[in-house]
Amino acid sequence: MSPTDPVGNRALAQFDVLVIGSGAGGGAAANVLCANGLKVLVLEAGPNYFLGLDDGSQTPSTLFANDEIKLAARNFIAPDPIVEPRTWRTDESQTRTYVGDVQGLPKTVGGGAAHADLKMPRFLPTDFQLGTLLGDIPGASFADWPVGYAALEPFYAYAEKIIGVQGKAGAYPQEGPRSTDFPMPPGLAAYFSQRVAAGLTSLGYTPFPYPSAINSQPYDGRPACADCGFCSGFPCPSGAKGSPPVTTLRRALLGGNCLVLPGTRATRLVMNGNSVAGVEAIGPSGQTQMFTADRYVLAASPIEDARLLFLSDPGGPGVGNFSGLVGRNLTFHLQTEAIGVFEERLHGHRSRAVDTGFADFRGVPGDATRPLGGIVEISAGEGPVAEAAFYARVFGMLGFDGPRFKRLMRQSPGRDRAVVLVLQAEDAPQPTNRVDLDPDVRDLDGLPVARVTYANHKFELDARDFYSPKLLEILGASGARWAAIAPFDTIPGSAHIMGTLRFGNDPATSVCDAGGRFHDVGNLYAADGALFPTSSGFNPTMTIMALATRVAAVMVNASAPEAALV
Amino acid sequence: MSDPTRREFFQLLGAGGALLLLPPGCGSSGAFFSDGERRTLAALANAVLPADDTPGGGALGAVDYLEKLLTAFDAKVAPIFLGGPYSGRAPYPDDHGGATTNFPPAGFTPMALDRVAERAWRLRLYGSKGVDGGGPNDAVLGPVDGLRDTIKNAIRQADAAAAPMRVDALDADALATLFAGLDQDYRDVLLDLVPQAAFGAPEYGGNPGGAGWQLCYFEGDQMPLGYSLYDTSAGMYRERPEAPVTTPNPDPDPQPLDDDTRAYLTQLVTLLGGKEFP
Repeated sequence: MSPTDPVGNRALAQFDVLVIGSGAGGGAAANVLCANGLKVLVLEAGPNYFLGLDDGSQTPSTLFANDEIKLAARNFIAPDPIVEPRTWRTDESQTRTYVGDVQGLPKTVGGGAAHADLKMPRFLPTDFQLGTLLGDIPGASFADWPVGYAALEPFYAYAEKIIGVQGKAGAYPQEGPRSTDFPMPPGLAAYFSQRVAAGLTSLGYTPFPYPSAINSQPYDGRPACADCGFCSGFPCPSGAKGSPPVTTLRRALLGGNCLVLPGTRATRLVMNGNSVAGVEAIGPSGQTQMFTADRYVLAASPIEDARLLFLSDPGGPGVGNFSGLVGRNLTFHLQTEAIGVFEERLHGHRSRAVDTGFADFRGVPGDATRPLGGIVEISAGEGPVAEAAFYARVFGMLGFDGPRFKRLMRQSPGRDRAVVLVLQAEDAPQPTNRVDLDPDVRDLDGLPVARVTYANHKFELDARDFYSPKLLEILGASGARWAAIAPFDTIPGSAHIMGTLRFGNDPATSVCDAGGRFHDVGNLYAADGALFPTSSGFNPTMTIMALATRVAAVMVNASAPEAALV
Repeated sequence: MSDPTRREFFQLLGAGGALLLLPPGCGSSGAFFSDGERRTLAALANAVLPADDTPGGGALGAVDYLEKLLTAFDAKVAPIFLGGPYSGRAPYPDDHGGATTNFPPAGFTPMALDRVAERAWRLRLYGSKGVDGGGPNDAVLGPVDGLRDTIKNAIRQADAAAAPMRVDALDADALATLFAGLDQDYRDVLLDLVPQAAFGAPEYGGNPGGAGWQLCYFEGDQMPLGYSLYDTSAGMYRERPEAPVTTPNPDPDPQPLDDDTRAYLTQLVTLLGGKEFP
């Protein structure tokens, strides 16, 4: 077999739904659609590195591995910016200021959820109401979600069960009510996270086991995590991570109603009036093909979703852009990283990337004394190739010194003795933060690449300033001897990408309706983070999966979507 | 998850499956560098990671790593990405968290590139001039410089700077001075690639026998054994006593921070506006 061979039921010739993207959103949507008897074709731009996904007689294997070279250094699954760049600018007066990697999510079967360490907190109930709770903020466009926490809760519960999430219910006070407990209890807490948890407790904060889709015990035919340490950025070689290929997508494939075409890059929606008539795509050998279905779902991630809509309407406003909002209100998370170095070796490379967090810095909407930050991840160093790259950045500030480099690698302050607190922070949506097509820069197939126009709002910068000293204080209380806030990245690398197709009830102020359907394209839906009107301050993948599950359920049964959760 | 069968691997890897039979580090097409270039490149690698009582960048495989990368397309299956899921270095665990004597197949063998990756890596290695049609944005951004040329040019510049001496004959101070005088692009690429060679998986051509990992006290890839095992019969985790997850290391620190590093960290956090705690 080849990594671009079709996967699933090759006998299928006609499809009810065509899904573009096989990641968190696409996999979740395909699962529900197929479980309800619909025939689904999934187009995935990247290759498939799993074996046996469509064979129920064996557990799948993979070509992923504990390998820093291919995954961290050579763009094995990340879009290679030499042939698939994006461009960047901070305001409309510029053409571009940077060409290269701009929040590139993996292109592979499983998408960005293949390589992530799958931290899976739910959003808080108030996260869905920030338009009301925050009121007007100049320059920002906070809006309520058309679907609140209560309506989404059954879909959270269903998705948690399908992918297998470990965690502890009621572990922090802001958490919304749950209809079900986590499918698995928390796994081991690494030594480094215990050190920080003790520091947090001493200061009156509330650390808790970080919800994650990593098996803490054997679950659904997949093994428990072995704490190999190659976690964040490394697809799991054993299948202990509940990534889409081994959970949602596999469920769809084993049911016989799904066909996945890897290496197939959607390049254009072919329109017939206000309906999509087909999808033009470039296949694994470079040939252009047309695929059709009754309905179409965008789940290629917010930046690529918007790019495809613009590519589909050259010279025009973009497909589905009656509102003028396609591509706009792009949000990330403003991540603030506080690095602490201990005298002691903490061996953070021997565990999951993150097993503990705290939400005390989420803040309270509208309370100026508690600005809206977000959840804080407690993480540590991983492999030595990444460690060396970290020192190279330090040398960029302090000058290169070979003998010192050697000593640093041996003494390992940047890996074996390091803890990193990562604050996710609400990124104020702004209509000026947007995706369009670069006028000049092309990908390997000659198609315009996505251009990101983005600048931070004072809203999240103030939160960063407010919480940064507290992060340092926590590291000191935990036993770190040195602590500093990592320099601000002009181009974010959060890999948390939301917005561009925000959903809402008013066609004038949103792109899609509450069910994820485009207001002005009758058979086109979005089922990923592009729908998010606001970013919350929590990792988005769980909510992407829950929302995509709901979009698919509404497609199946608009009047009783919960009935589609089979 | 189960391991792919040997037949499936051969199907996936094409003719490159034959490399399964070769020991780690072998399989390089080689012959890109002359003997003199190899000596110079090894010396430059030693400028990045100097030899002391432990191996330097040269002995940690920088030349072989680079040669294997730069000649990747001379091989039937370019060894840019190696497979998985396991290297074969770590064994399977038993039911109670101990190591068995049963090792998985060595899966770190070359994988065929898809259309996109093949285009990207040919451009990266050969540059726009070496690829039909060049880069997608040559007209806007200028042509892509190939890594093969970049490395050769770095060697030439180093040789010229050292003349009439050989680069590998310079003492440590002179070598450091020469390295500091190289063009920034050359220094950057060496500072990127030499550590990859030293600390990446040995199957890519560097880190011979895991010497780089030993140097930095990193255990390397540990799957499928891992560092913990959920003992289903007991309903609890087992950890490896010599390499625990949840408790401090049992052995003394093999290389504690020294005063020079402490002072350096103080300098760094001061620069960043951070804090030093008593």
